[in-house]
Amino acid sequence: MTIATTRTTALQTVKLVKEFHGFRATNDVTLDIMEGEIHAIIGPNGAGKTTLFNLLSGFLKPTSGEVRLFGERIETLQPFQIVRRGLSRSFQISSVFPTMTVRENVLVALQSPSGLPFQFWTPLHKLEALGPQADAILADVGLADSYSRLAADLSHGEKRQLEIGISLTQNPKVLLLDEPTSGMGSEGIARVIELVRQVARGRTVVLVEHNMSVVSELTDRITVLQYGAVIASGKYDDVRRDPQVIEAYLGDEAHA
Amino acid sequence: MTAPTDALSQSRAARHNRAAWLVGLGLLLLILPRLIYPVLALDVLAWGLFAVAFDLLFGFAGLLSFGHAAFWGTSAYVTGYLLGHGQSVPVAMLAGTLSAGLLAVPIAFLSVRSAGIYFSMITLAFGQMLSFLALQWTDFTGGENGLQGFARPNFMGLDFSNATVRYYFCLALFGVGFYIAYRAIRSPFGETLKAVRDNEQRAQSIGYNPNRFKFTAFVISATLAGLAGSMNVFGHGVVSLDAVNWKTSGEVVMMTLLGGTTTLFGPVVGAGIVSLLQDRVTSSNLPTGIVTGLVFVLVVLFFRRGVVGTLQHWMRRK
Repeated sequence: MTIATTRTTALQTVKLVKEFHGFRATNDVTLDIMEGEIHAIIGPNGAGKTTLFNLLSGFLKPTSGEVRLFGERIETLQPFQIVRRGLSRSFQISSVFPTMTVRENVLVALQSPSGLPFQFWTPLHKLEALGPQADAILADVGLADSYSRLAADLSHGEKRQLEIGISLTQNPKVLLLDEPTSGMGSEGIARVIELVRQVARGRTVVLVEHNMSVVSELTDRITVLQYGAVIASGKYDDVRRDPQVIEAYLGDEAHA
Repeated sequence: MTAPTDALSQSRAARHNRAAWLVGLGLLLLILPRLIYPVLALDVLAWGLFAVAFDLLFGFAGLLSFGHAAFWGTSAYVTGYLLGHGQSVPVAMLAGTLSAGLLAVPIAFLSVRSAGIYFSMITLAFGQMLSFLALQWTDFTGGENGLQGFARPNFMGLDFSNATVRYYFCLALFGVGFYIAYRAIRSPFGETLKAVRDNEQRAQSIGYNPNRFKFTAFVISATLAGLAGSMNVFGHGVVSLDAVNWKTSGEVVMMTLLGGTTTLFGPVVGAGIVSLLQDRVTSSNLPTGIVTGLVFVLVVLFFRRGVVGTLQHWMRRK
């Protein structure tokens, strides 16, 4: 497939460093993630994948270096400001609003960009205007039939689906997914792969993932982290042949 | 798609449930001065609104304030002081209420940055500061003697020397305060507050600034606590150091838990139970603290959701 126009960089880091008490969890990471690609960040446990995600989404501030979203520097912004600029994330541990129903979870997220949240003179049923949008998102993530259940009562897999749904409410240009298949069976994984493919249309998706079959099936390019530093980056098939990567991480799977 | 209609009918059932509680409680409050003596009924109103205000912050924003007496008490002193200096009842009460809201601005600003026990400790510290200030600043507060003997000049033909008249005047104010709390909870603002309470990290990652919502909830809560404090002064005609004492902060926590947090009506019921109980026990030979404490322990043990919370739970299961 040839792409006629030059693709722009959606998300970029320049010499990104995060130190915790002298320990470098993120070590000089320079990354370019192109608009429209699905990019996986992989690496052994403790390689700094989640730290990197927290830096990209504003939950951590870097010790030094830059994060750019479509060219604009965002590393000093608060998470909610970064969301408003078009980058939304999910969490490694399912992160929903447990005391609300599935539908309310999506509604409360949908009202965020609408300017409604500070209106306490607006009756709650006015939110119903966002209902069709909420139902569409629930249908997209496969939760249309669970709309009235409490989020706390969902299964692990359903919570992950809801999480992605909540992230989608922000209509992000860049979506960060932290281990979307963790703790799932093969059926759930197949479902998530389909879901990620679907939400990636017209979006840039960055995911942290341990499951190599998911990575090979979904991604355009991958980046391998070890000890907080990038040791390889490129197409999956190229990276898996990189001796340093085989040594560090892929090991058995690359030989298999 | 069938989903939306179903969701709507479900919330309609919930709305009917709320309406039933509202009508029941409203009727009870209307006839309350016939059931118990009017000054005690005034207590129920003032403490009831105080508890509703407290639960707006505790139940819906997840912030346990241990210093809410600061707002109740500040308003009480301002109201009493102004009444003692010839101001009319509405002016004094309004000024008291606003002073509580104003005081809340810096306290909320500093405290909502912390969560959990740290938030509680910071609010307790501010509460204690204010309590010492009230003890020392005798020109304004009367120190140990408090403020008393001030006039409650009649207003628009209302005879405020009559406790029943005072009760119905306060009932109207209670209605206003309760409605404001209701609106704050049953609105997009309230939904966002719950989202922040449930999962602050997630709320941030859908574009919400949690501190802004907590701050706003705090100031509304404190202002309503101020309105309640001014009602109490207006009702009794005295202000004592108790108004800013930490025990007052603790009492409102107890009332709210007793009635049922996040139930909207629960805090009012809790305030009613505690007020009546204290009244009965005080006129007997039993030790007040031990009896109310015992009731509190029993309710917490056997009705974890509080009185109203447990009733609602039973009704929903049926």
